[in-house]
Amino acid sequence: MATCFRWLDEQTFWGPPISGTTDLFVSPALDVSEFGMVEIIIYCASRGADSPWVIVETAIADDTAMWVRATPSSLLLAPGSKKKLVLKASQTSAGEPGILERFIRLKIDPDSNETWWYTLQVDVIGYPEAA
Amino acid sequence: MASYIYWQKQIGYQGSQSTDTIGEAVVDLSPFGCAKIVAYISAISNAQLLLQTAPSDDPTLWSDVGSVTISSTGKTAVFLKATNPTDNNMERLLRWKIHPTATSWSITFSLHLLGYQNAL
Repeated sequence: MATCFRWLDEQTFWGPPISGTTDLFVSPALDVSEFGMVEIIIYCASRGADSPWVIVETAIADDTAMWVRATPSSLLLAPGSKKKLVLKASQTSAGEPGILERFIRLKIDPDSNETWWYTLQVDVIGYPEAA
Repeated sequence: MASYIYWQKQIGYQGSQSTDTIGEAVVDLSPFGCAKIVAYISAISNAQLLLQTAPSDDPTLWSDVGSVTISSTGKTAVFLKATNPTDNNMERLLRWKIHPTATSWSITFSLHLLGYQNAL
């Protein structure tokens, strides 16, 4: 049976011009070890004109060396749009669908030369069986 | 439901002979139909890390898991299926093996496992 929950309530993240070397983690690591597959639905309520990329990462342990991109591409969501990602335990390398390990986290890669902002909401549907 | 096992905490080996080293940590995969193994190699020189599987802990029954040879630093993930009889095979037990490729070798690694009840 699937488990549905809101990972991130609608929140606004913003920042001044900074280099792309400083990532902003918009959620703590989420333990999804009980699931073999998850759907992540990211809704962008609004964003600035020069907003950065949104990236989903996964790791087998919450260790800085263990985190990798869950999907090969970064996301640039249009205001009012949503994007669904599917992560599978059976996936072992970056590709579509994405990789699922024990933890996931969401980060913003602010490779922007101007002040940026994003208003995001994220829901998760987890399935116990691997797929 | 999946189960997480911290199979092998970080451990370092070095050797001066071309003899395989077999891990003592044997995982019983019988509760699972498929499993994800993640190896993290922080240092490696003249060695390969392999997985071995067997239906019972009999020395003659262990065989290398097909197409799984880890020889570089970083993270490598492998997905094993009980339904797959050949490549990436998965039997009841799992262990690791270090295979030196020269007489002087070293490796530092950790292994993590996520087991899933259903078979794919």
